[in-house]
Amino acid sequence: MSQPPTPPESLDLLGPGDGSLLDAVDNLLNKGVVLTGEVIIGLAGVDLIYLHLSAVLCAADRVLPKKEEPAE
Amino acid sequence: MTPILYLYALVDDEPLEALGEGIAGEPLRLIRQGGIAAVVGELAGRPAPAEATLQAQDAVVRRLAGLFTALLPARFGEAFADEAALAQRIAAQSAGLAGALALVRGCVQMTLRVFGDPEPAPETSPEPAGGPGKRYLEAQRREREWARSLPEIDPLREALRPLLRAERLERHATGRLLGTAYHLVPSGQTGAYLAALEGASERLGGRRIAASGPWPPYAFGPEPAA
Repeated sequence: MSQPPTPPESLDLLGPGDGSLLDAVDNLLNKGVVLTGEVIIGLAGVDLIYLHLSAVLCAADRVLPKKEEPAE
Repeated sequence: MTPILYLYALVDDEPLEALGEGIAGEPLRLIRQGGIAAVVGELAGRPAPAEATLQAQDAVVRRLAGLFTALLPARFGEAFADEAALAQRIAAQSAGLAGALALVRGCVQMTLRVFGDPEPAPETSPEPAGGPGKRYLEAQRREREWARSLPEIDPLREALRPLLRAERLERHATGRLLGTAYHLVPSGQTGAYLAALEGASERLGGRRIAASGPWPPYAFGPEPAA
């Protein structure tokens, strides 16, 4: 029988550890008010940082160790 | 390097206490333009985008968010030659900034990432009205709308709706990360938000969600002019 989704596990997927850096990158490089009209991606290195971290973000559900099913 | 004014955030009232220091330990100050004020520090040059500087700026902005009732974080790397240049840019966007500050007052951002299989994109309209140009523009419009929608989490959005001041949605093109919902929630309501999320997350057809926050309202700056 298939198991129902387990919300606590999914909520833990990006916990305060990993999630905070990924969210900080998303917030700071993709969001936030731009007054200058300059495109931040033009700064050296940003492309790489962002691509690298978004790849981690996409893969997080596969690379993080699966939680063991609690023993009944 | 020429010294620069480095922008951390935009606000429209007085801080509850001293502004403290920026990412390089520099003292922060306010530069006012009309009813809006910029929180800035003077740096020797624009900071390089690296993990340490991003985390440092995130920490400064989070601390600042606790000092104001409404705060719009700046994007990383926003730097100005002098006060006049900064004031000019604020004046040019003052209406949008004032509206965004009113929207975020007393609120925080919760970020909800959705993983799993996508819904099929809506079928294109069966009656291709008009000529090729009109059909092309119509297809472009639909594509933009689809990029800003996440029907996969509609059951969640229903449950969260009473708690949301505003919402911005982003669909991602590839990978297991379907999309991200940015939710603007009154700052006292984050516990209720997480409870509502947990209560409704079983209705997502096996898709998984990851919530994080509260964050300063990074995703709720003024919409860029079309």
